[in-house]
Amino acid sequence: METRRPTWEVDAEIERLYRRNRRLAEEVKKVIWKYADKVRRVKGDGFKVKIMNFCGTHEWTTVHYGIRTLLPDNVELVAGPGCPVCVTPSFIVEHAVKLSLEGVRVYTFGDAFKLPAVRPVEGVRNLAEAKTTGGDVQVVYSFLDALKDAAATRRESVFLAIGFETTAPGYALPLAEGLLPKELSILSALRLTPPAARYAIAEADRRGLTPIKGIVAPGHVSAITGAKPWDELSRELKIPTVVSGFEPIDLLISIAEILRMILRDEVGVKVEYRRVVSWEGNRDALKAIYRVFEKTDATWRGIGFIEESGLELRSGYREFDGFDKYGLEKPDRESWVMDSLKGCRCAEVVLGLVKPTDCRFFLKGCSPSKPLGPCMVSSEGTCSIWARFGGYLNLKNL
Amino acid sequence: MCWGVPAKVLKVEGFTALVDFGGGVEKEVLVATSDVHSGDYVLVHAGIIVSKIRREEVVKILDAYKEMAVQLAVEEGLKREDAEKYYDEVLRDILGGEEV
Repeated sequence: METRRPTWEVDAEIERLYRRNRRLAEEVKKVIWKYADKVRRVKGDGFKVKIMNFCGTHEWTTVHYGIRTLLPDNVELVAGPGCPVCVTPSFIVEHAVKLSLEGVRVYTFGDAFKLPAVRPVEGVRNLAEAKTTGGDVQVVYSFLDALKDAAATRRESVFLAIGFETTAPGYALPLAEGLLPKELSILSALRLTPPAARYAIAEADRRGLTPIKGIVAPGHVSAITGAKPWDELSRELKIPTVVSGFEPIDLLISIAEILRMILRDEVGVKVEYRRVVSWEGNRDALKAIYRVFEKTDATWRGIGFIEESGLELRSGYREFDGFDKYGLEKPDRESWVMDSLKGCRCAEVVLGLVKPTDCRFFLKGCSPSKPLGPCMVSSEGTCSIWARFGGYLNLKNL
Repeated sequence: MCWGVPAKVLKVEGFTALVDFGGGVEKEVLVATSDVHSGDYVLVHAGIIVSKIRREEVVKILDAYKEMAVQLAVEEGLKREDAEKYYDEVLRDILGGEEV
């Protein structure tokens, strides 16, 4: 992922104001430091402001622009579950590898091409290896591209359907409109963000870690869901929440707003990313998603089941469900087995419980060019971001 | 994975649209929101238009920053009127200001 140069007038305006505006960055930083000082005076020295983000792009912005270096000692940003590739269970990758080796064409986004299976299939650990050993694997830019290819070739094919709420309408719309050829089905690995946020925050409490005091909610997930689910979560957990954009100054304004809310003992959600996110979200997309999919208890890699955290096809769309079509098993709570490599701490990194630098494999046997765990595979995995841009600098370990 | 890229809509045809990402890159994408027309600026994620970009909101969020800054200045003893005047000037500088 590289920093884009602006192309359009509106894009250039966003870049000028929110990415390359030193004066504004300095002004907002001043506000953050004043609020942080007030928090220290009002709440006491022991009150640590630990703010969790739930999007790999927010972590990318944080690390790439050195946001952590701009924050006072009592404020820390932590990456939470924000990378769908990182949480895709091993069994789905294993099924995809197996199908590709049997001649079924498997479409995947590039991010999941090297996603490892914990249990190799015929010695093959990921779709990249499957392709080099004769498996039928196609990397595509979008579900639309796969749909066109499947319609043209009429080959038996499946799409490894990873993603959070942002990606779900891309599968749901063509399914709802009956655009899929009968040869194409999907393996849904779709996961929902708010249940994972709730789980990660509770897990930090269970382990006696510094509690999360603020939430930076994911801007592009919220473009679909709206701000409303985050408002409900914020009120339930009593944690101030801001839906943030992805430019560095978007993030700084969001952090300032969270500190202001903490000082006022205010909960609920504020939307900083108003140029894209509304309260209700994208109603057309939500309608298509819930026409085609229903919520289900789903497994997260290395974590296990999280209640109502996944999307599976409704019974009316089962003919397009790759699990049903090819008789592939989905583990239930009894049959699920831990799907992380021994010693790999990806699942804890995903939940924000440890940092990539706490893992003994980080840049010692596990790197972006030779990843062991899923967090080092995806460009939005925390380990990969830290490895590429040095996120391990300026940590406060609150 | 939830990376979004701004684009300009060139043409809408049913469920798909042709968008221009700039730099000569044009792509057919799915339209996941109604009321998208040619000329609109949109946010594209994994080949889907997930939202229009509301241009009028681009500058508006700076009001939230101004309110925070003014409030802090008032708490530090400055008159609200003077604080607002000061931060209006700061914002004028920023909106017309230098790039780094």
